[in-house]
Amino acid sequence: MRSNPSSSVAAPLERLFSRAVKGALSLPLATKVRLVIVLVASVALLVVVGAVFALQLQIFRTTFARDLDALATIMASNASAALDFSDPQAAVETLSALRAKDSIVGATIIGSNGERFAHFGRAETAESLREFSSVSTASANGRHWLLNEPILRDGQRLGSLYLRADYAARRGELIRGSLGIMAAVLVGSIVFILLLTARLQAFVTRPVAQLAKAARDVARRNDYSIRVPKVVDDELGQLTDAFNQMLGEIQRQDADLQAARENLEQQVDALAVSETRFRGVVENLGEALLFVGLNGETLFINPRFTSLLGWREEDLEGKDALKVLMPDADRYSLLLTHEGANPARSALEVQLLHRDGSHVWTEIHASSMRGPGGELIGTLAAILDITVRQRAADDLQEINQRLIEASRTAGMAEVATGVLHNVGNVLNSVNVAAALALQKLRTSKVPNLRKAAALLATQNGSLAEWLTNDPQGQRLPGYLQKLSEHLSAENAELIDHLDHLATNVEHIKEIVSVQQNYACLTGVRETLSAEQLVEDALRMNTAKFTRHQIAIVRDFAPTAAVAVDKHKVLQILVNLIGNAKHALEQAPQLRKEITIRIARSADGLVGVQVVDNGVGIPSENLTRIFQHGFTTKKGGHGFGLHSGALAAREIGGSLTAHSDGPGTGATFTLTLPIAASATPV
Amino acid sequence: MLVVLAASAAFGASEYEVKAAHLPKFAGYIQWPAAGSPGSNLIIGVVGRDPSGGKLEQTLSGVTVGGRQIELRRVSSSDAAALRACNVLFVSASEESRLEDILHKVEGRPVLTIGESANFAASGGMLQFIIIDGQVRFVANPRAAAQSGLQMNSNLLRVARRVVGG
Repeated sequence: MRSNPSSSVAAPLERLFSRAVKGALSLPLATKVRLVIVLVASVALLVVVGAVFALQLQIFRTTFARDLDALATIMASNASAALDFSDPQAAVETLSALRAKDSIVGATIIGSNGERFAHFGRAETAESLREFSSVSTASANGRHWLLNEPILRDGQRLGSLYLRADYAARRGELIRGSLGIMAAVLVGSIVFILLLTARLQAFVTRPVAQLAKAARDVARRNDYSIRVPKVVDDELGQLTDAFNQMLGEIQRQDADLQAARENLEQQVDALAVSETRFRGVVENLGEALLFVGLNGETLFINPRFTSLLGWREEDLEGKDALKVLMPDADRYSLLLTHEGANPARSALEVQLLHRDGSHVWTEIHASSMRGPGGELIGTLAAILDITVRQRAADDLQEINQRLIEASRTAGMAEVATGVLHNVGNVLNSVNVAAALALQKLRTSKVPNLRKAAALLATQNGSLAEWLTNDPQGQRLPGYLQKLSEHLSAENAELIDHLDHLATNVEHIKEIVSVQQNYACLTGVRETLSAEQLVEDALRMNTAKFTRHQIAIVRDFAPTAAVAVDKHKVLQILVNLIGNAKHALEQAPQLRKEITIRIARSADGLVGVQVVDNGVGIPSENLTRIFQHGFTTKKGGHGFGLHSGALAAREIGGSLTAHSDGPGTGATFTLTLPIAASATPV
Repeated sequence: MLVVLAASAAFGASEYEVKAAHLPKFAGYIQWPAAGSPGSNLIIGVVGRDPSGGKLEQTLSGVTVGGRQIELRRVSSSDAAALRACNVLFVSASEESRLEDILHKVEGRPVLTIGESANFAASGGMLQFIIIDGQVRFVANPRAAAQSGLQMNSNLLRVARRVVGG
C-alpha cells in the first residue's frame, strides 16, 4: 500500500515549521517583542481589512443591485414614450445613454406583443431572452445579472426592458482595486509599526537586555561582583533587584565554596598521601588480605594474597572467594557461623586451596568492616601463612613429649621438696611441743613426791604419831595437798602439749598422704569454715607467738563455707603465718602484730588476709617472691610461696602479695572458692 | 387594444390610423394646469375635414386614456367656445389657411393643439405630425405648450423628431 503523498509533503513542512518556531524562540528578546507586536498588529489589520473588504463586497453587491434597479426604472420610464409612439429609433437613442454605464452589457426593449422593439449593446437571441422572463428584480445569472423591468404608461404595461449587467467584471475590478489598497495599507502599517516598535520596544526590552548582558558577563567572567543598575520599578525592576540579590548570595557562596574547595583539596592531598601510605602497607603486608562484600563477592585482594595462594584478582572477580578457597561446604559454613557469632573479630585455622591445587595451612582473622555510617559493608580476612608454624607445632609436640617426661622427674623432686618443707614446718611445732613437754618434765615436782614418800618410809610404824606430833609430819599432808595440785596442773599442761604434738604429727601424716596422692592430682575437697582453717593454722604456730611476743588480731567477717582440700589450705596458711612471724622477728618495733582477716573478696570468693607490720617487701622482690627457689630466709628453701601459689590455684583460688615497701609490712591474700550449697560434703 | 394599435402600425397601418392612435397617447405625456385639466372624459376636438375618412372615430371608439373615456367632437374653426372646451384639438391639414385664427382662439387656454400642416409647430402649434421614411413622427413646441399652461413630458420631447419654439 502506497503512502499518502500528502503526508510525505506534510512532513517536511512540519519540520520546516518546527525549525522556524525553534529559530524564532532563539531570537533576541527585542526582536521577539517586535515580531510579536508586528504579528499581532498584522493579524488585527488583516482581520479589519478582511472585514472591511467583506463589507465592501456586500455593499457593492447591494449597491450594484440597487443601481441596476434604479437604472432599469429610469430607462424604462425614459423609453416608455418611444415604445408608446412605436419609435424604435428614439428608443435606441434613449438606450444609448447606457453607454455611460460600464457594467451594462446589453439592454433590450420588448414590446407588448413580445417582439423585440429596440436594443442596445449585446443582441439577445430568442433563447437568451427567455432567461429574463422570470427575473423581476436584479438577479445573478452566471457572471451576468439580469433584470426585467416593465415599461408602463398610466399603469398600463407597454412592454419590458431587459437589462444585462456584467457583475463579475465589476466585482473583479473592485476586488483587484481593493486588494491593492489593502496590500498598500498593510505594508504601510507594518512599516509604521516597525518604525514605532523600534522606538517603543526599548522601553520594555532595554532593562531585559541589560539584565541579559549582566548575566552573560557573569557567566563568561565568573565575576559575581557585577550589579545591574535598576532602571524601572516594574516587574523588571523587581527582577533586577532579585538578580542583584542573587548575585550577592552567589558571590558569598562562591567565596565559601572556594574556601571549602581549598580545604577539600588539602584534605584530598592528605587523603592521597594517606592512601599511598595505606596502599604501600597493604601491598607490602606480610599477611594476605581478602575483602569480601556482604554477599561473599570478592572486592579486594592484596599482592601477598596472590603470592600466598596463587589466585589473582581476575580469578576471583565477582566470585565467592571463600567457596573458591574452601570448596568444602562445611568449613565454609563453619567460618560463616563463626563470623556471624562473633562479628567483631575471629580467628580460624584452616587449610585453603592454592591455585595449583595444593593446600596451604593458614590462620584467618576475620573482621567485620563498617562503612562511614556504621553499616556493615563486608568482611576483611587477614590470612597468615602458618605452614612453618604448623611444622614447628609438630616439632614442638615432640619436644613437649620429652619435656613432660623430664618435668615429671623434676616434678617429683619439687613434690619431695614441698613435702619436706611442709613437714619441716610442722616438725618445728612438733619440736617446740616436745621441748616444752621435756622442759616441764625436767622441772617436774615428781622428785618432791619421791622425797615425801621417802620421808613417810622413815617413819614406818610411827607414822600416825609423826603425823600428829612431829611438826614436819604435821606439815606433810598440806605439802602433799599442794604437790598433788601442782602435779595435776603439770599433768594437764603435758597432756595439752602432747595433744599439740599429736595434732602436728597427724598433720605430717596428712601432708605425706596428700603428696602420696599427688599423682591423682585431686585432693579431697571438704566443705569447711574459713575461721576453723585459720584457727588450726594459728594453733600450729602458737609457741612461736608467745616466744616472740607477737599479738594476733582476728578480724573475721561472717562468710560462706569454702570447698577446699584442707591440708593444702593449712599448708598455705601455716606458711603465710610463719612468713609473717619471720618478718616480725627481724622487725625492730615494739608492737608486733599479725592481723588475720576473713572477708568476702571482690571476685565472689572468700579472702583470707594475713597482714603483718614487719619488715615489708621491696617492690623489686614483690614479683619474684612466687618464683621457684626465691627466699629471703637464710635457711629457707624458697618453696613456700611458690608451692603455696600453685596449691591455691589447684584448689581454685589464688595467692597474691602486697607491700608498700621495706618497713611497711606486707599483706598476703589467699582466696578460696565457696562451696556450692548443693555440693554434697 | 394597444396591442392592436401597435400591430396595425407594424403591419403597415394607414397614416391616419397611426395618427388617430397617437392623439390620446399625447395626452398621457402632458401635464395640465389644475384649473384646465380634463374631466372624466378626455375631449378630443377635430377641426376641419376628417382626412381619415371616419377612421378617427373608428380607431378611438372605446379607447380610454388614464381611465378617462375619449369623447371625440367635431368642432368648427369659428366656434371659439367649442374650441376652448376641448382638451386636445386636432387641426386637420384642410385648415392650414385658418391656422393662425384657430390657434389664436385657444391661445392661453389649456388645450393641446396638434396639427399636420407643415408650419403648424412654427405657427405656434404644440405638436405637429410629420412623415419620415413613411413613419408617423412628430415635432414638438414645448414653449407654445408652456404658454398655454401645459407641461410636456421630457419623454415625449425625447421621442419628438424636432423640438421648435426654442
